[in-house]
Amino acid sequence: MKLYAILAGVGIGVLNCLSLLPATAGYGRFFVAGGLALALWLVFRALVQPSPPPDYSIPEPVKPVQPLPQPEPPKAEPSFAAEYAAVSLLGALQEKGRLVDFLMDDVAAYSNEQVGAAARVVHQGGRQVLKEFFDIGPVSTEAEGSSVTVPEGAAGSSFRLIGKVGAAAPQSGQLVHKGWQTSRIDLPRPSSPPTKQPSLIAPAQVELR
Amino acid sequence: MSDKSYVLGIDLGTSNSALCALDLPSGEPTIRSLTQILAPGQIGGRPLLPSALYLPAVNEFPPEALALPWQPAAGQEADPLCFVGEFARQHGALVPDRLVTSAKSWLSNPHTDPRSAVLPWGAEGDVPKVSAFDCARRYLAHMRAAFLSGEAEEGRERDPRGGQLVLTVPASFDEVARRLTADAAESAGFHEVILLEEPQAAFYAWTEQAGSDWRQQVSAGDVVLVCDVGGGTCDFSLLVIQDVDGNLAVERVSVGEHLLLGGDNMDLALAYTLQARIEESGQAIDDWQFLSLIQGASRAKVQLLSDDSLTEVPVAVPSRGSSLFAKTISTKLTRDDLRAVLLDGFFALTAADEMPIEDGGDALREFGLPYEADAVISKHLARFLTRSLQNVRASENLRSLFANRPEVLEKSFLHPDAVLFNGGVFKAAPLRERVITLLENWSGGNAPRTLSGFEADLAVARGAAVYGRNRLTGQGLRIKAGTARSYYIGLDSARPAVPGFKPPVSALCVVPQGMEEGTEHLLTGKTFGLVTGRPTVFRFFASEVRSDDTPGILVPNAEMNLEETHKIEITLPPMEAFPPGQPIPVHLNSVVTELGNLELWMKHTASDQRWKVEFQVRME
Repeated sequence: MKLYAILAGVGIGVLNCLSLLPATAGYGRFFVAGGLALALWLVFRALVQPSPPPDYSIPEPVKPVQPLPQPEPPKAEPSFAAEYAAVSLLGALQEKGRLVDFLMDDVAAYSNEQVGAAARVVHQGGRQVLKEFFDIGPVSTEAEGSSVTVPEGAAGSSFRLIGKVGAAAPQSGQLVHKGWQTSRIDLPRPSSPPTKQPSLIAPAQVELR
Repeated sequence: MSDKSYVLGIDLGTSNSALCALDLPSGEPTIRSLTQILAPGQIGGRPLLPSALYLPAVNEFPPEALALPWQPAAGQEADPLCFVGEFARQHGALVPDRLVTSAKSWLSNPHTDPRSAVLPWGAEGDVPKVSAFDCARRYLAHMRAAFLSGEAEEGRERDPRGGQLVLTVPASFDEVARRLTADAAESAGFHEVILLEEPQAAFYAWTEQAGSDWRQQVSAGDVVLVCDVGGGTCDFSLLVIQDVDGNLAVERVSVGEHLLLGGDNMDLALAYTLQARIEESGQAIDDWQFLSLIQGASRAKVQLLSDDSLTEVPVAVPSRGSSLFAKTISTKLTRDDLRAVLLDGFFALTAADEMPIEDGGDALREFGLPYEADAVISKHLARFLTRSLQNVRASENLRSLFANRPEVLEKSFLHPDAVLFNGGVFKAAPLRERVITLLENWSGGNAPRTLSGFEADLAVARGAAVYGRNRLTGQGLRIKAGTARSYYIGLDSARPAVPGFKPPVSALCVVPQGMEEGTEHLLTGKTFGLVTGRPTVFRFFASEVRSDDTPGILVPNAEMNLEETHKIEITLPPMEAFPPGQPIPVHLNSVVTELGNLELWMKHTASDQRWKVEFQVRME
């Protein structure tokens, strides 16, 4: 589940970049700062904490992983598949959208205009990465603010109940956030299974003359 | 009956390639994801394989970083070491000396031998070189392996020989380029390759997508223009819909010339506009930033073209270093830029008789790809439609297609009744509308219909698979096409030599336009002297607009009236009883095989011995 926490964190970071645009600059600063902090916290937490985070998972695994009919190996080699997926996703977001540059730089020193210009780079590239790796759509297709009934069995997974939560179904309420889910996950794969914890997000670049 | 169990349709594009698979007899054509290198040590699937090939320096990447599932130890069989696809394009953009792109256009470049290793063009130093033929082979081998390995991963073991490959080529490819493409596929491991012209493939994809409804969208007598503008090339074809015994049939009546002009030129032009604006504001961008500016301009173009309410779209260009906030340069692409560069530039509303400007007449020009000197696509379209009419008028057969509509042939160009768009450029509705407006203006207010429903990037691969199915099952539509050009062989005229004067070469028609697959012509009326056992030169010519030439007809002054496609120098094995150098009396025998390959045989008049002259290139 680590992976999904990281995806969620990175996703929040990317989506928040939008609100850095001058058009929303008037009221967006606190929200933005909070959003970015949350994103960073999520990534950090996922990377350092081995226990699964509460519930940022996407409810139904859309692309079932085929279980290999192998007998249990006597001695389990450490697998770095989740770490690889996380680092390669970060790598792609950095490569196309400069997300790591964006988050690692000190935002306080720059004007809204400069931050807005940089946010466009992150948005353009990050969006392309999201489209390549996922098919993202809303969980609820109703308009935010409208009244919705929570589908049976969805409470606690794809629908999060807040406010006066009671036990009786069906539960109805106001849709605050439509949620996001992905119907496809097509992450880059390692050409050979990693044997140690991956560490490289983006290589240093040297131009030879 | 065919022993094939599935069809592979491959669109081997100038900028991107795609693969579509279809299970016989009645499966759905499905585009297959193609595994490729996305970064060192990283692979992933994409529907498109960028037609880019990168030649890494020794030790530039560790060998395992370039491994693929079907090629765990990269470089074992690859000589020189290279890789293709997404990472090749992405990384190669920063190391242009080691990147090969547009290899397909080099296949049809008359100035270089497509089998000689000259690419990357102009690269110096220790960069290994490959040939255009090699590039095509490697793209195809990659797609073949990616398909087979992808199928195996999903638990379907495919017999490589059980698949029928239908490979698309531009309608504008001449016989040499077609042959090279087919040979490249054979050497990539495919067997009995069937070639299909890309605009026809787009039409097959459209009929498949429209279902039985396609017969409602066109009617007998309609002239359909397939207008295909991809990343690097423009390709035009005209199809005529006919009524044959109450059924609609389709015949391809003309194809355009090979034009190196496409969407990449448009993005580049927009990027130059933006670069000028950035420089006006006192900032400067380096080469690397310019690449990012091209991408930014392209994205902004798509946004402006798809949303009428926008008047401008900001474009941000990051710096190379890690400081994103301090050094990002921003500018904007406005709707006026778009109008000036795209609509009034590439798709200007020119007159129907305004033809493209030929080469500017520079005494010296760089010897690379023959890019179009005139970037106005409208003028190239005008030239195509004018030449098409000329071609139709020339032939009794083609004229008869318009027996009920004689007025069509009275104009100065062949006016299409409907347009089928294809290629990434036409994802933008305003550009499709512009082409329609242009045709409407040319024909005095008579706007052609747009055939609805098309898939810009993947239609050609899909159409190739559909054609393969129709062909192998014998069911469904088959476009009547035949050879797009007529072909000629040069004959030395028997004249006394005059110092300083080269006698004009006349050319004998051996293959008429429209010659169909599985047919042949034997010219028994004339006997020629064939010299064997010593080097002999053969010159070949072709024409797109001489639909009335029949086999055996002699065209005087071939260099003026025809296009010379190639020249070969070969030594044919001698025949018993004829010493080397003594001419053997032969008849010419031209064959178009079932697979659409063109062959020319020289048959001894008195025996069954014959010699095959390959349509292949060897440059002087």
